[in-house]
Amino acid sequence: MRHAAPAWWAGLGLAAFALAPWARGVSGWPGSTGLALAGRTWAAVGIGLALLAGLGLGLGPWGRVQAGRILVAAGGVGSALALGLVFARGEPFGAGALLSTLSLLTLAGLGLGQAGLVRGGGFVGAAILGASLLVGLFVVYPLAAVLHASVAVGGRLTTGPLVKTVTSPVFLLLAHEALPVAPGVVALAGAVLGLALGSAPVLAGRRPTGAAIRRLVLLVGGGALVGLLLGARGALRNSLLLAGAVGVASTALGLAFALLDARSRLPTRRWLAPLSALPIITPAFVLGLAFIYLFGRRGSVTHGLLGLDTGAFFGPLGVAVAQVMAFTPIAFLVLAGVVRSLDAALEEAAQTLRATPGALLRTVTWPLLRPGLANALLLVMIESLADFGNPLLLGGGVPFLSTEVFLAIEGRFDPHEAAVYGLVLLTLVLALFLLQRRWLGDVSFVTITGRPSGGRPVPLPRALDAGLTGLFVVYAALAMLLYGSLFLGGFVRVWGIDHRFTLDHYRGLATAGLPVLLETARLAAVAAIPAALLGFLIAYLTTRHRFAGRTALEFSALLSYAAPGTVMGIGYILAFNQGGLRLTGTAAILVLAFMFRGMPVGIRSGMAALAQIDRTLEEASSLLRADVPATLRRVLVPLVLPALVTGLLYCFIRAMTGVSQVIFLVSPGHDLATVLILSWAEYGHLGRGAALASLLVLFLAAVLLPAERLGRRRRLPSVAAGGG
Amino acid sequence: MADEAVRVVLEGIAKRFGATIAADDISLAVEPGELLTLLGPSGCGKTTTLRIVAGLEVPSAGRVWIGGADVTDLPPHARDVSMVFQSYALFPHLTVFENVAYGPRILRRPAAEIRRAVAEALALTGLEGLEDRAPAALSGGQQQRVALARALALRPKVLLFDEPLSNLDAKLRKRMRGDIRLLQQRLGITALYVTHDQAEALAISDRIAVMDRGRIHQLGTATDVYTRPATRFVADFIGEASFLPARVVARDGTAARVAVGPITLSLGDPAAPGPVTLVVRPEAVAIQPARPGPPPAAGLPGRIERAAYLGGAGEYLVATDVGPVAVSDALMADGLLAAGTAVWLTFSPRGLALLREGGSEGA
Amino acid sequence: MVTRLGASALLIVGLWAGWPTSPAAAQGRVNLLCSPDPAWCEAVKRDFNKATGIQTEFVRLSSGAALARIRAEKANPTFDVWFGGSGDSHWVAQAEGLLEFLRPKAWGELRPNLTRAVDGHYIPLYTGLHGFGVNDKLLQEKQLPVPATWKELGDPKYKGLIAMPNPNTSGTGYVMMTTIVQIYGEEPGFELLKAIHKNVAQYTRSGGDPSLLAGRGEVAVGVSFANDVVERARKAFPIRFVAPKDGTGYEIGALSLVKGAPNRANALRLIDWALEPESQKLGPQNGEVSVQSNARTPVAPDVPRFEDAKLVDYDFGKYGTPAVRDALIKRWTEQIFPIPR
Repeated sequence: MRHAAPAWWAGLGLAAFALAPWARGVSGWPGSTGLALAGRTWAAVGIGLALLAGLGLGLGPWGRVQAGRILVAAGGVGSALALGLVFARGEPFGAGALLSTLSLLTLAGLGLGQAGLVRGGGFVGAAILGASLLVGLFVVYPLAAVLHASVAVGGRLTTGPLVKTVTSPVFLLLAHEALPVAPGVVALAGAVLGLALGSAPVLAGRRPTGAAIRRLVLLVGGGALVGLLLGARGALRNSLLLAGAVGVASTALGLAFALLDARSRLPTRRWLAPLSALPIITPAFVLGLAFIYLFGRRGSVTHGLLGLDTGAFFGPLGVAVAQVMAFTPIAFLVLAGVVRSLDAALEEAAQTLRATPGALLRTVTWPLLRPGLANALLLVMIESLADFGNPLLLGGGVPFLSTEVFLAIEGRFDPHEAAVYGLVLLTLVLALFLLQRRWLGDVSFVTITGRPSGGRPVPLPRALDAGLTGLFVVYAALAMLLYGSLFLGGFVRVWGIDHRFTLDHYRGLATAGLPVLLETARLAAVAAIPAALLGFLIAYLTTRHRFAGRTALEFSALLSYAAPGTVMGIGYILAFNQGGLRLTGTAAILVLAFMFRGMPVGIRSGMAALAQIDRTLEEASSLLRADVPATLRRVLVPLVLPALVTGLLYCFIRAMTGVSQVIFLVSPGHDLATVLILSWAEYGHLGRGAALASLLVLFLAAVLLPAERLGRRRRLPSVAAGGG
Repeated sequence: MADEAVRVVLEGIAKRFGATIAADDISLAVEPGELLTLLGPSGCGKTTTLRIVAGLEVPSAGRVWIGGADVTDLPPHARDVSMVFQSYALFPHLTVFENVAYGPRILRRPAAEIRRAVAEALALTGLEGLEDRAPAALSGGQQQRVALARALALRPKVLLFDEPLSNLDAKLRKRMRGDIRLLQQRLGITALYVTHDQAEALAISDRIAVMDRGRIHQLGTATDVYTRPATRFVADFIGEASFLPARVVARDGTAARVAVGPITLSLGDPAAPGPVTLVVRPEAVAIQPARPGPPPAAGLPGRIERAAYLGGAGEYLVATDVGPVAVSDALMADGLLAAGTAVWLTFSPRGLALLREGGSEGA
Repeated sequence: MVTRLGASALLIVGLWAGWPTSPAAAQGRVNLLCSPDPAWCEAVKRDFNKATGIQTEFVRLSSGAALARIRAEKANPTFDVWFGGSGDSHWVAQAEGLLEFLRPKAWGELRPNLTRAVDGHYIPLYTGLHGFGVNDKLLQEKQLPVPATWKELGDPKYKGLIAMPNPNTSGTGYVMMTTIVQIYGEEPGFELLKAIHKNVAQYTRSGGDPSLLAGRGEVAVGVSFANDVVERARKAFPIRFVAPKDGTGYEIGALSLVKGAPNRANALRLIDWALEPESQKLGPQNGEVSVQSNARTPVAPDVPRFEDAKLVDYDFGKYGTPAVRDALIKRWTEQIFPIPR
């Protein structure tokens, strides 16, 4: 065992404690170090002693288990003291505080491993503690700050904001003279329809089974709910309907494209990855803007091409179409991996069992696809619920949950109300998670084992191939139109009015846009790497290790994904504007916001990749004397590298295209490209906005395309070998 | 290559997964250089026990000792054991050479030594020339050998096998089990072997621990467990057996007289008088088409229910007054006896065993 | 494989140019919270830096968002100066103790009608009329007359042809609401707002958007400040400003010092600089085509004249009171906004 590790960490912590300034913005080295503080407060003395204890325990000839337990105690007490000191002093933490806390926490983690309290050794112990602290500080704490604001007004607990918001007609409108049909009537109709569908088998003479009755209850309830939603108005109803419709449509499209990607015989297959990736690299609202130019009342397609005069695309329909355009690639990316990794041998096996193509789909392909589909549906629905750019630009002012969060904060500055909307969104997402769990059960689908298999994927039937390709061509044409108008927009004087060629917009970028774009890229890159690594680490810890608080860690990490960007943004301001954790006005808060916004992507792609890898590979490695870090380095990371890189790129892109969370966090000198584009667009500098958006898209394409090409080749040797 | 062989001791091992008990108070010792097999149906706890020895599971109670050291709290990588997995668990991104060199590389052995160890392990398993292949490009038998070579490259003191042959075809399985046994004996490694295949267990083991529902029913040599099953479960699981109610009528020193239906047999097992169960192996029964003689030399009368032709022998199921008896017998001159034929059964004492009433649990 | 991965990852790693450092309250620096047209913000940044050597940084947020931001950062302000944006949001912020009022050197040079209206609350920066941006082309196609009053906007014939800013986020939307309430009284005013609501095709977040939508022909009428409309017209959009005949509101764009500004001295320099006629020309040159507050600053010929409009007697004091503002916005949000259109 490496007894030296605690000594190293304790040494690092001691060095930081003694030499680095404890807080930022406090002058007078060496009077500002933690060591100097020890002269003034007993807590600093405790921190120093804990670090010294770590050093002693690392160097001394103590028994493993005994020393481990003392390490846990020293590290735990020490890091608690350090955090407490940071909060209590209220000065923004500096390098000394950061590194001391980090080393103490690591010492506690190493102790956990050494004492056998955590299986997997010191690395796992330290990783669990470190990940928990980061997630706790930068996901849970800001949300807690917002939630605190929702139930506490002026320091007193109250249900006022909750009741006020939920009963507001903006939230949910169930009765109004202006409604065409009473929601109750529609709900009843839905229930009756569900009853009819559910009882059809019974009427057909089959004996009612338990499953059939459950299905009946589900159909009646679902029918009533959908009916109620259709009949009602308000943000809750709009968001739910939108998320459901967009989720289903995007997942279906994503599946179609994923099937084409793996099994099409047509040459269009090659265009799939790059084209379907395009909307990913585009801020959602930019797509929305281009959408207006094509499909608005004066849109080139609706008005120019079809001669229509309609404002139909202002409203939920436009939002839905724009979201399907934007989020289908997410479903595609999730499903492409799943479809590609379907073990062809399984299908061959089924075919030899005389399975017809239909039976093959039902009995083999569908059960294997189901986790991927559920995953894609879930992701798209969450994206749709949290998206605020498209509802804001295209929604015609119709309320959605995400826009109301935004408006409550930005317009009414009512963090209480915003927090309640955030709470509702979180609850919905939680419900989605539970649904997913129920649907998937605990079935695991391991298709990469140490025992290789082979076989070639069955090509799609020609008719299906042609049909799906047709669908793709429509999607691709629409995407090309959107991007075409965006790129052209940067070269004409006034989009839609004066179409003479000009380079002025691009000349203007040199001073005002380009530096911001580069700064954004730098911050996003700084954030993407720790985000992807932390995401993978959490995925690894939660799927491969059992420890107290595992579910809590997993869920709180996913909270940062589920929480709407605006709520997270305001949470960051509330949490990090004062006291020991003060970060506002720095680029660090942008980096952290990006990081914890992107991290769940890393978690999900890590989990998906790990679920595909048979655990015995790690067991074999550990029996070949490799400890956890060595196994990660030599076995897991090489095997999940494609997923890791995909996750990293997606974190980067998500950071560069996101706007809702950071719009509150931009600080002087750290403006962000998306915020700039949005403000230019709002003020009618469309040409310049289009030019910067084009540059952004091209830049991100340059990042994404090599990875996409890589993705197509990222087949593991076991798959590539064939035959077997 | 044979380091000092070590003893592996399990002491009161128990493992619970929630409410289910996978291993229940298991104690056994694997002697230095011995190959001990854990044999039992799936879900009997044999794999769990093996994984506890490997360190992949933590026992709920009990201790594990390897070579005199208590390793219960050590992680797998700190134990001097290697394991061959049912799925082989070959690293798909590494070549054969890299797979076998994995362990030595982790231990940061010098490059020359790694090359020598890998070459040796590959030679032992007959894999020379395949160093640069990817695992996926190998046949099942070759993959199995790579897994074995990888486990051997570290010259472990203890070698664990988790159903290593279950993914191979029958012929290969037979050959591989011979090879494994030969290697293990030549290297003098202490080995713990898990299988559900009783023929494999009988062929490969020094001793066999027959397990069911988390408990060891019997621990002994192949002959022990076959000829002197301790419980009805063991008798039933290993080989084929018929169970007839019987009664010990007299005991004299080393033998007992046992009454079965109308006949009385003499067995070399000094059981106390009282009711017992007679375990009858098919090859211990001879079929007589005619009544052999008056009691007590007489055969047990019965009628053939089913008959099957097996080349050199016939396989019968004979219904008697005390219960059905499976019989494997050389063929009569005129071939297979037809179903429905009335016959008499005579018994050779070597294929018989007694179960005390207390031992008739299981099954 | 690893090299290929490296190739695409290299781009990202290459941008790892060290951990970003925090912009400390360094000397020679001033941070603007800038609410008007971003082009104006950029021009101020450039020219003030040129004139004084002080490093100038800004973040552009519309008035509502800026107010929210200043409130959120109350304990620890990042910004020194809030530049531009609707006066009532400055008024509210000042009333809440977020801003510090002081009279700049040039106070005496500013238009007296402006300084009289807002003295003690904020510094006037510019002023402009509030009304409709009208797209004549679309109205002709639809064979509809140009609406001349707020009342006419409520006529069902304009259904789906109106864009207005959401009063929740936009000072422009709030001015529309208060103008109507000041003309007709609160109850009839809200009836009219309800009628207009049924005609609205799109509520926008920002006050600049409706004129853009009208200019592009998405809607026929965009409720807007004159300066936005004139700016669009200058960019060749087919749009012109109409001052409602039943009463025209107006705004006074504001300039304020943030309380507890980290760079107070530089902030004061910027405020003085921003009120010089030479600096004030930057507004009309960069999108804010309105009347600048310094009386010596020339007014562009295409800026709609106050003299030609029937101004409402805008009560900046009353409608800048946080309680009044919140109550009006709340009433609109709950009683009118949710009605199905």
